[in-house]
Amino acid sequence: MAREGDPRAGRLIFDRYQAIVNRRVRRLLGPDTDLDDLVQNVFLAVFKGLESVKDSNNLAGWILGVTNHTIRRELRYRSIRWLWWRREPELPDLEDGTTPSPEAHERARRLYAVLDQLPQLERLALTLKKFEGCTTREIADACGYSESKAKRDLKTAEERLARLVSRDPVLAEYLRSLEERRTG
Amino acid sequence: MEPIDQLMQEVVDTIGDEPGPVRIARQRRAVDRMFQARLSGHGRLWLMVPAVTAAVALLVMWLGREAPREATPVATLERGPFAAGAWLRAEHEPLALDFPDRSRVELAPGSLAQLTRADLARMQLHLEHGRLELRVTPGTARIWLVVAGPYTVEVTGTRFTVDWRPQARVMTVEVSEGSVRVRDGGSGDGSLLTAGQQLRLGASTSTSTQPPSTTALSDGCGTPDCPSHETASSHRVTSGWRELAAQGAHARALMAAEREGLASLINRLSADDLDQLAHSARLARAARPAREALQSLRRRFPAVARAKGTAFLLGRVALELDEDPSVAASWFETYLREQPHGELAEEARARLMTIRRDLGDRTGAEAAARDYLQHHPEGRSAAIARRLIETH
Repeated sequence: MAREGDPRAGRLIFDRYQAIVNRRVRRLLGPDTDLDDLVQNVFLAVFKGLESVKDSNNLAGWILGVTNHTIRRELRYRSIRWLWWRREPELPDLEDGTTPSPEAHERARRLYAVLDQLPQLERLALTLKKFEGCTTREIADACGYSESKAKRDLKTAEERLARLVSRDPVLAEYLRSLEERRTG
Repeated sequence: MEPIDQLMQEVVDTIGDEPGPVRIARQRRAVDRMFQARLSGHGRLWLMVPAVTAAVALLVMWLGREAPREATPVATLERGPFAAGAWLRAEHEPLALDFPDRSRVELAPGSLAQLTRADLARMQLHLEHGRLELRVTPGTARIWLVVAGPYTVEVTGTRFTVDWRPQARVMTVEVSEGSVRVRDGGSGDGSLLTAGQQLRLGASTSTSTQPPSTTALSDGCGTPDCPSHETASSHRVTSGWRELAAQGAHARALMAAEREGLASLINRLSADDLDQLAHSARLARAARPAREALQSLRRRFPAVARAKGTAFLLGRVALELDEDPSVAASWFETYLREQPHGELAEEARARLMTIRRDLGDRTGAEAAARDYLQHHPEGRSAAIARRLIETH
């Protein structure tokens, strides 16, 4: 439809794929209000690249690839912006359907603040694995390097995350309570 | 499950999978507009793809060819404090730096620069080669200087690009907003450039830079400020602001609107277009045009549905762009007076509550929290509201 210039195609593509795009953008970057613009950029890139799609049966996979690329660019910008100015989120996403407790929201905010401190590709690899359950192969594709590099990056990212989380008093305390619960 | 994995799982559950229906509807409208815009220019745009790709590839190769062969001490900008002396290299992607005062430097791929001075009085960038775009927020006392070879570009509040080709020793400055002064070494007052003008210094070749976009430069200088030596005024032939906005290029859309004459547009645009212009301005983080477009929408189309949310959006502009919570609070109050049961009423009440809390107005915050709970006892910020009341 899109290739034939059907004006309904844009909305159809959005309605069919916005959930996977929103989910990936949101999980990897955190629930920030600026993400709407990023989601729009993903679909703009999708429309631009539709002509080049060879396997229309795997459109979802291709769109997720475009999403990963857009997120990677965003992380690159953020990694520089982070050096100068960190904008604290003011409120939970009030349009959410979820009603997190203030404590859960605070932990989410702190975890994303910790993730902001990881090098961009390590963060991408780690969040793809932990939040999206991606395979090493998928992570390697998203990060643009080999599987062996993906494995190394993941290991480094996990170690770095553990170190950074242990320095955050709220997260560290919460992890201790989880550990105590686990060990009885 | 390891505790840290459990924490990450909990965070995923907390943030949910997608935004609420209001935001999805807004995304859908924006994406729909982008798609329609692409269809309307379908044939022409697809024809341009190979040409633009080739032009970008050539530009990247050209810039790459200029890279100094000697080992340059380049620090990769990933982590750590960024201080004077640090090098900035954009390899395959643009490199952007956002400063606390919202000024922004963006290095084009293949460019190399060094921040040679960074303090309250002066920011100085030394462009080794390539192209950088600088947008300086006006109103601060800090002086910004870009040094390229023997040339210095001085700026106090503007947006412009500098392109420096060290082998040819050619520097090109193109001003989009405001004005800059360009000096050759320490000589004299230099040349004043204003918005829309381009200055090329150093060689008399006719090679002209062509930004990798839909813009084109033409010769000729028609303004009194146009410097007399080796200069050319640029008159951008661009897409209209609506088209750019529909493509999601909000900063460029705003620039296009400013070239068309913002004041005139704001007085004659339809309600839909004003809404779009305000949206683009907000995303481009330009408070004044966003505010003026929204106020025009309120004034000229009070009965139109789109005008009903303008007070809320004006509150967001005040809060997020002007960082003026008191003004933001008065707009959220206005919204609630006008639309006490509007679709954004819950968000307005929640923001009012947190603004008052953050301003240290404990009585006001408690009153706002009670008002929130009265209207939205099961609302998404109900827990925050209850905590505010309990701690008062």
